[in-house]
Amino acid sequence: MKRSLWAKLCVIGLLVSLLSGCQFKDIDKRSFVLAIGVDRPEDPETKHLYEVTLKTALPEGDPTARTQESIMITQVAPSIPEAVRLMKSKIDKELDFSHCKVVVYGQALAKENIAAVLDWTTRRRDLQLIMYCAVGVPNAKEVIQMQPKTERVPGNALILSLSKDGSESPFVHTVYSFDLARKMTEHGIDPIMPVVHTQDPDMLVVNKLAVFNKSKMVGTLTPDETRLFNLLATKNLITSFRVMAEGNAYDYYLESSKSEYKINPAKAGKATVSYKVSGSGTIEMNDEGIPVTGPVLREVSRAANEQWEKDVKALCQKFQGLGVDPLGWGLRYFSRNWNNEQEVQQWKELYPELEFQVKADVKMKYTGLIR
Amino acid sequence: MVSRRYYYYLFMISMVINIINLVPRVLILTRFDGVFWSILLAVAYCTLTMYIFTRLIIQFEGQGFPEIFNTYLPRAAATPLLILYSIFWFIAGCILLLSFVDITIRFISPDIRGRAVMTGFLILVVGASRIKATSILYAIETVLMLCLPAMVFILVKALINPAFNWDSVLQVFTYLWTKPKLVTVAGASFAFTGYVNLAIFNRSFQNLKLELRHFWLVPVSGLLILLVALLVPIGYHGTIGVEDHVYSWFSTADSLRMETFVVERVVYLFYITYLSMSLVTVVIYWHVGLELFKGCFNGKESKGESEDGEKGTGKKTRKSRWIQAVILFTLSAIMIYLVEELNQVQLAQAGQWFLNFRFFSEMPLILLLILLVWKKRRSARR
Amino acid sequence: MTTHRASNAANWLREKLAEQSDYEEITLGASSQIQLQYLKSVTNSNLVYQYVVVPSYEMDDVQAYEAYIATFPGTGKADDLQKLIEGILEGYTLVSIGPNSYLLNSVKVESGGVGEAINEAIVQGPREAFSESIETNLNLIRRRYQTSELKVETMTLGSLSRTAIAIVYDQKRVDSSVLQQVKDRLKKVKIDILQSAGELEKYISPHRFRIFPNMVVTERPDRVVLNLTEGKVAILMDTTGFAIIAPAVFTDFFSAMDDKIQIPLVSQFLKLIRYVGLFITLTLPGLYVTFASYNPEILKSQLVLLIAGSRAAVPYPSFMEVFFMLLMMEFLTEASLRLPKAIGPTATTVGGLILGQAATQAGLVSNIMIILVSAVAISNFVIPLSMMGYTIRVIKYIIILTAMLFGIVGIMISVVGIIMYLSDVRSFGKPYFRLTLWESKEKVGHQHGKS
Repeated sequence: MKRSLWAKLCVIGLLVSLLSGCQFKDIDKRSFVLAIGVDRPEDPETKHLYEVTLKTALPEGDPTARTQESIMITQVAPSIPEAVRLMKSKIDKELDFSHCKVVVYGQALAKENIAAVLDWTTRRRDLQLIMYCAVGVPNAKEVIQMQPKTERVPGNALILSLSKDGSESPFVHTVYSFDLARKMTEHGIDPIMPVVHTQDPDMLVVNKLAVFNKSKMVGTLTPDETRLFNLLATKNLITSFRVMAEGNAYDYYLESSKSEYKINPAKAGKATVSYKVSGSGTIEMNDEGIPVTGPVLREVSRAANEQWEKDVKALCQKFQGLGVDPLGWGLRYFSRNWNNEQEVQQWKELYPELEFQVKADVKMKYTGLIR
Repeated sequence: MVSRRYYYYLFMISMVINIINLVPRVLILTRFDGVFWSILLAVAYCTLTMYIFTRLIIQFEGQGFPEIFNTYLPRAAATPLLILYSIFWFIAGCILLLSFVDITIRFISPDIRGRAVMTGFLILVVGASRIKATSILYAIETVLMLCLPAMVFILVKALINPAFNWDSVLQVFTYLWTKPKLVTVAGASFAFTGYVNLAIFNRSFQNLKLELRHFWLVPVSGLLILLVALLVPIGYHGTIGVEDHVYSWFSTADSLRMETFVVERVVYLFYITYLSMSLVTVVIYWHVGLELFKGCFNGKESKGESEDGEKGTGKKTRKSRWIQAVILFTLSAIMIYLVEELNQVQLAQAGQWFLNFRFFSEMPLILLLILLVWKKRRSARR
Repeated sequence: MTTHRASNAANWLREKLAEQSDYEEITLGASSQIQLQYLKSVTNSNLVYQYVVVPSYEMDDVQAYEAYIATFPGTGKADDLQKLIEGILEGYTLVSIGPNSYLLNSVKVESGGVGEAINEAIVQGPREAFSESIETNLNLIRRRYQTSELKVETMTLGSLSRTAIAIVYDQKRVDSSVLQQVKDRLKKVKIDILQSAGELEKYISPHRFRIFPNMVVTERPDRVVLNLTEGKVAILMDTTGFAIIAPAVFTDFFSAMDDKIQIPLVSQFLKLIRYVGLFITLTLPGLYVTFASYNPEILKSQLVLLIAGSRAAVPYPSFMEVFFMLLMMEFLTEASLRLPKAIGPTATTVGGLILGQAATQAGLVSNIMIILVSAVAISNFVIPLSMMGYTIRVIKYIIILTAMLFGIVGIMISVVGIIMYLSDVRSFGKPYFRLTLWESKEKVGHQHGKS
């Protein structure tokens, strides 16, 4: 019996090898897509089609070579899967999307509707849910095609500038594709995406934030607003601010930061979003060279507080004006409200009338190495 | 004979394995319809049934269902019952296997064919479900201990990630005061089902005692795991979006990154841990099913293969080996057929039926055991 | 009174040691007044014969003989029973002449023929290895394990070779079921010629099909002694410098005798290193096949591009590459094993360095593959006992095969399968592979296996 069992196993093994023989595909026969760009074509006749750009890596034999080359393929088709199929015949190797780290939505598409593309990226099994999403300006193709000098692995510059792995810019808000997808469906929070725009000769700039009303881009934040948004949305933002105090300009570096908010349904039909932003800073630069003493520190803190309170309030009102909710106030309202049937309706009525209170509490603690 | 901790391993492995497929699906589906009270009810109910069941079956020290049934029930009742229960266990294994093949071709090897993956799994499961019960218990321990650190890592990683949205979790929590649903209770109670495997594994235990200082861990860990199974995917995919994901926990793991490791996507770590645990669980289920089935052919006196024996020979074991071979071969054939036949929706439907059916068959089983214990006591008195 | 005491001592000793197979008792003199008792394995029989037996025939007078014995260097009166048994176990001879008994120093120290351990070399600690004579080997064990509980039973095996076998165990600690099984199985062995311990191990293990070694074959007396204290049974064999220890568990094969010497932190670290080495040598080739051909999505992008780049010139699929290189490595290992000591290093250099370098430059093999093969080879040698090392060398091909068929899924299937298989293995009725982390705490609920 024992022997026949092993014989059986061998037969099964043989069968399996027959079955699976066709799936074996070596790494050098695949071409890895590292970034996708989706856009509307500029040609007005084909405005309803999709223009898909792929950046695929071309692995080279010599790992010591300074840069590795990449191949760009562009295809216009009625849908993205169709475009990918068409592109397969343009390249000799099998397209492998499993290492795709970035998806760039062209500005034109973002202003129209990103829902279909997002559906494709979350539904397709080999696309990661931790892809970085961004809006490309002027269009997705140019962003994808840009090859900065610092790039050693194809697409890496884009990946590093959108994530916090490389430079930790306060103007970047990393958005993963799962994050985008959940904000698309969730009540009371709206999607956002960083904006990547190209700058001659070979630079990618990420310092703005696109604000979406669900699937449609409705506005952009300026770099300053983006930084402020990051201050509100993340903890311990690494940045510096410039503030005027006593007729002198100071730059301070933020050591730690924290922001909290509450929604107080004060009166009937009225609600207040009260923010509390706190942090501690170090003076990084002092324009006039005045010795920084205790009173000066306090004065700078006070000025910084005022500045923050004003700016944050303005930012919140900008969101209100656009009719979007990227910070998730609505969700916060729902999550603290036990009246589940009417809360959505209530919030819809409350939102246009929202009032904002900002209490900033940033303390200058250090003067740096000199006074 | 093995130590008492293996009883808790049986419970634990079925508990953690359930967050992959059936249980979170039904929990998430009813997240606005009384899921919390359903979980609480399920925890209470299952702790009770688990306690009663264990107390009852340890009256028959070192005996599995086949021996108990064959001794205290007429043969006309014992045989159909054993066959029924064995089919039951086989189906449990089959559903797990089918859904894992589905997960594999979805997340790991999109190019590979389902039939090939299934064959690979079957080679292991068929080979391993014939080994001794104690050996399976040892294997459970090893696999669990290898997998637990990875699971704890993933869980901690998921919870401390700033992308985890606590507001979504709280939003679901505000639906606390909704009426519990039977289907959710049935689903949640499936997570506790590991103890039923004592039907066969009781053979390996001697003086198994339930001590309160260990047993309180059962409801507590059960509650925690069920809540985690429900709430972590919600924190990552939102209160609404979570429903879009077929395997919500795999999507959740895919939303995590390990920046400083050679493997960047947590989903692969998650897959590897859950694959090994699922395979072991299927082995448990099929082993129980197999032994129950063999039990209807054995007489009263035989107790399966002798424990820890090096090699069994003789007519009896020869016959049981043939039965084994036939059953396993049939099952494998069915599985290989089904894997390309069922679609995702049918599979989920079958899983749901199974959950409900299992829930309602738990009570009769306990009543049956009470009857048997009563019979045993009466015959002992005589 | 002394008569009483002397005969008492002799009788007591006889009672204690009668069952030991190396116990010997000689009666000398016409009136059987002189009696010698000693343990063959630790006693210098030559000395006893020359200076104790021969003079007894040369001197007719018992009194003179007694005086001669009493003045023998290193001789004392045997008064204390405790000292007596200790002395005998150490290698003294008890000479009972009429009423008096003397303990005669006849300790045999085996140094000739005892070499250094080669296969299980360690940094610090005893270097002695078993020699090829069973007497010497028993001596080596007795010297390290001086208690009367240590029992030695002898038998011969092989109808032509008539090889002497000794079963050694600690009477008090041994697991009787294991002992019985060892004896039964040894009795069942029917062969013509028996020449090595490994061969014997094969004959007495129960399964025809085995993957993992079921018993430890060692050349270190200190390992045998350590295992004897753990209640295991050792089988010594004439004409071979190895002993068999049964039963064995998986972890035995990963413990070196160094672990006892090092401070606990270091020894735990070393143990961990060995298991990591085991994991690497088992899975690395399979993982390479997986990453290069099935699931490149698992690794980081940069790493994948690196592998893809280094493989760009290789004209055949990854598994062929792995098989070629691993085969070359196996050839190298085997070749350097068989070659004379003087040529061995040359072969390794030629094979390892020049061949590897040339192969990558010719584009026949990727750079990463060379690194991988060396890592696999090195980590394989981390395993302290060569028997397990050989097993692991073979098993890794199973993993490559499954990786070739199913990718990462295949690796997981085979890993879980190996765990399952290991859990099912019993060595003389004892579980071969299981975690024993909480075993000591939970003794209440635990009982030993029946068989």
